[in-house]
Amino acid sequence: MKLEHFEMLLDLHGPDVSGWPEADSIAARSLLSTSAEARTLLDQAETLETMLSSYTVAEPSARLEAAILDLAPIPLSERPAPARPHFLASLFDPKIMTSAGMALASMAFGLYIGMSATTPTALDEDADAFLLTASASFSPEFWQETE
Amino acid sequence: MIPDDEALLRRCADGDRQASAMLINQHSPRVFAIAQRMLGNREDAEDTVQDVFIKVFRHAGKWEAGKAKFTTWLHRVTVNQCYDRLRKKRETGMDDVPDMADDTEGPAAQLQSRQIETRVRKAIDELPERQRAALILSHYEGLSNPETAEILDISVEAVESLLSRARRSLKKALTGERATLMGRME
Repeated sequence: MKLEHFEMLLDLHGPDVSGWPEADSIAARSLLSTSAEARTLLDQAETLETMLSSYTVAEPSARLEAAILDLAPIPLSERPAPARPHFLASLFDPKIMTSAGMALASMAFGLYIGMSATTPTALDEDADAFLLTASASFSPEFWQETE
Repeated sequence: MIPDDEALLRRCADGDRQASAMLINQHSPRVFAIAQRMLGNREDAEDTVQDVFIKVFRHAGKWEAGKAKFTTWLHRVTVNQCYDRLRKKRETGMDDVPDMADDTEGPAAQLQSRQIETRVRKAIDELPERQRAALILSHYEGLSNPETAEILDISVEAVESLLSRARRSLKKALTGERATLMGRME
């Protein structure tokens, strides 16, 4: 094993050589028995692990645990019943609003269709005049007059 | 006998306070430790633990037995909450307030260990987030590389790469003070 490879494995697995994959572990032990540089690298890696282990953190306080417990679900029997909505608020219930909206839309559409069918427009009058002229063209009198 | 996590979650969803307390007692130390090391700040870590448990309680009733390991999911939620908090801090440009060391040691020993701890913490804080998360899960939480990979949702090879780069950076950052610091520790 070369020194560079040993250093790479130290970075990868840490300084506990016995915990490395078997083949790497055997090769590393062999290198350590002959190389002072490898031993220095191992020593540095071990020191780093020791230094990292000096970074301790606090346990959660009783106050924090109590605060978390306050966020936990409460029993069904203790949960407040859902409040009954006010009469006016119930009018805005999405189900009611959807049905009402659909009914209104249908009414508006029907009204539009009805109005369009019964109310003549300028375009309708032009079309009527065209149709009258066209139908008149089928009568022999029409051609006699024009000839 | 301690009930398993899934049983506790079911009972917790039904409002069983004792089960909720057991769940908190079993898992909050680990969540809090990860958050403290990820965020480098106790106050933020406390808020993060609460955010994580709010998620736990929300999912307690929907937890599907056998689908995923609860601790893996919990670690993932914790790391993601830490990422979110770090991102928000970056966006708002807020700086961390350094924690005070605890007072359980004598003044000289306290000063020495505080100096070492401060240097190590600073070096860890300066690691990129993903390297920091991989190091915390692997070194401090003792998780295997495949477990760390599952939590971080990356491949085992990517975890190995993150750990290698993290250790190399830390070695570089702490080498200058190694002799001094270790001399104080001995």
